[in-house]
Amino acid sequence: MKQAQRVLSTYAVDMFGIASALFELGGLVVMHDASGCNSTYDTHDEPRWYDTPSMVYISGLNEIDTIQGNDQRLIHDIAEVTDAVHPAFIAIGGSPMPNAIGTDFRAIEKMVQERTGIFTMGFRTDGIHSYLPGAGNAYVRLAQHFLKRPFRQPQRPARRINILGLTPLDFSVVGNATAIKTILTEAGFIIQSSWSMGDTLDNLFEAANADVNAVVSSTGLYLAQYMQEQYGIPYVAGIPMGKQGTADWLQALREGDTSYLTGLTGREPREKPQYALADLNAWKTETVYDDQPCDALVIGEPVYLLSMGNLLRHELGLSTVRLLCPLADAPQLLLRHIETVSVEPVIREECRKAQHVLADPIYARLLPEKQDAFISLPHEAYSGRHYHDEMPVIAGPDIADWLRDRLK
Amino acid sequence: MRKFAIYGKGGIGKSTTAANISASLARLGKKVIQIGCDPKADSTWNLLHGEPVMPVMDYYRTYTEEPDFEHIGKTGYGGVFCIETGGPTPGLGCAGRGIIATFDLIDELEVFDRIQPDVVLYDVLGDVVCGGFSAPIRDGYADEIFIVTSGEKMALYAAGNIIKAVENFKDRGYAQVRGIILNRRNVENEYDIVQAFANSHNLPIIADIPRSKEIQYYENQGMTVVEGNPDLPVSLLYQELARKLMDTPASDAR
Repeated sequence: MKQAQRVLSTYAVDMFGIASALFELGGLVVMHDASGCNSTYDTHDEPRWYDTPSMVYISGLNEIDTIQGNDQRLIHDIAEVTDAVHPAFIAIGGSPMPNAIGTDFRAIEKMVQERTGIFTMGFRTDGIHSYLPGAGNAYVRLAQHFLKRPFRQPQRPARRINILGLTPLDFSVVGNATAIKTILTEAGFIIQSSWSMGDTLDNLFEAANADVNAVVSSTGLYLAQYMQEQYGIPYVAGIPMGKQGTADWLQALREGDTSYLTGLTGREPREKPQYALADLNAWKTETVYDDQPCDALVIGEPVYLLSMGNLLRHELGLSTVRLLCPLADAPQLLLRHIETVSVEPVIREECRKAQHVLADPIYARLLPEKQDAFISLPHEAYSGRHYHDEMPVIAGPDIADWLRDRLK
Repeated sequence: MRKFAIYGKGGIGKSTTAANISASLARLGKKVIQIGCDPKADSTWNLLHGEPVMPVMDYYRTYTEEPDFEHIGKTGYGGVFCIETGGPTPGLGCAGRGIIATFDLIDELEVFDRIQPDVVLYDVLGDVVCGGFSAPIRDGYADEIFIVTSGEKMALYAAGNIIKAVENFKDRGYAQVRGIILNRRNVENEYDIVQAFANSHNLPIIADIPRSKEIQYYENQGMTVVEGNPDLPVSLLYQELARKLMDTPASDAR
């Protein structure tokens, strides 16, 4: 029962990552499942659902089609919807049941594309892995098909920039996307494309003309590595947090300095999200770490963790900061300086050792007797819309003062 | 890289055929990977001299984690790299899903990139009984299918079912059936019966393997007959079959 979550929640799953990444791009997104996934995603993990047109559908898989392995109804239904809504592309992914019966999404992709004439992506998702490789895979597949050849080489200092990994699952809709874009444009950058809030598919096609890629969440790392390999565009992982943190981030972007926060060279072998999605042991990480107390423990997604750790250490003067990622299928390259734990009792013990715990408020349930230690930083991919009112804008200089007040 | 899948009714001699083809290809200087896709995990025994490789599903069950490259397979006779998917405890779980999980792992560990084989041979249990057992012929895995059959009615019935399944998959981009391997059981008019079956499906009989005591003799010693005595008539037939597989362009499927 080590994997049982008694008081904690689970993160948005792989298929939700795909739906979130593609939400604004004019494609038809189909979740192959009996029911439930679509409404769970739309009501909890997709704040744009209420005011933005989208094409996220559920297939309505039934028992006899599952037993028979009948993919034809799915294909027929997709073709019918396609005729009605004329999507720019089609994305189809699975939930636990199609995964259990070995549904061949590659074949479904081929058949749907042949039938509709529209570019189709089939994803071997299982509704068990996290949104990180899900969204990451969607970005890479989209880029592999749609990116136009660049007409210019990446320049130094960089000016044209892509923002990669920008979805509400990590940034919600509380102003982070606008803040990041404003910081960049005020610093003289030209935003080539934003993957994928506030941009169009046509604009994304031109992304290979950028000088640098800003990876603001792990979901963007896979695409960044792909574009580094294909077009020589360097990437920088990080979120601008605090005054110094924002200045350093901008400088790293100008220089295309991949080592910023990560220590990476940019020449590491590409991590492939489909491998993370196929890993059978993604949620079994239960390593116990040292017993030393620390000033702060931060829990969350890796790029956020590295950025927040930098802010706490260098701008807010905390000497011992530990970073903990419960998403064991996050890109391994980003986990070199991060501990991964996904088992509830172990996370509880880690929280106990910390003077402050910066995490989604659901984590505070782990230690009811130590509520004062928890600083609420809601994460859409974890608690959905539940704590929207408490969400600060994490991007920009002001987060430093917001935290300073709470760390007193 | 050529990628073949061997299908056929259970007990018809697929593993014997596959292992002897692998051994023959190795003697031709080819780098071969043989992947047994059967919960019995006995496809590569006779390439490994009685020291079988731990099946991937057994590894997961024993260590609750995936094997690394050093443990996913084992090198056998002639340098043939042997992998067994294995399966769940009989009566439980889903063997087909185990095949898919093993293929995912082979991809992730980049086994083909590391070994750079000339030939990958998938030896698949009995029939295309579920999605997992069609995994070896899905897009990206085997390109060409060969069906092992005797002249027995049930073996031909199973062969017909496999052909039918593959035809059902034609719009999925799956591998195509390239030919029949006749593994004789001394049925009366056996060649004629199988020839009629092959003709009705517009397929060639690419090998005619007689029933042979020598095969059993060397298997009892943990090796293929091709390894045990490559000059025996039956060994020469396997070697001729291996050469034929390599010499026939993949595009001559039908």
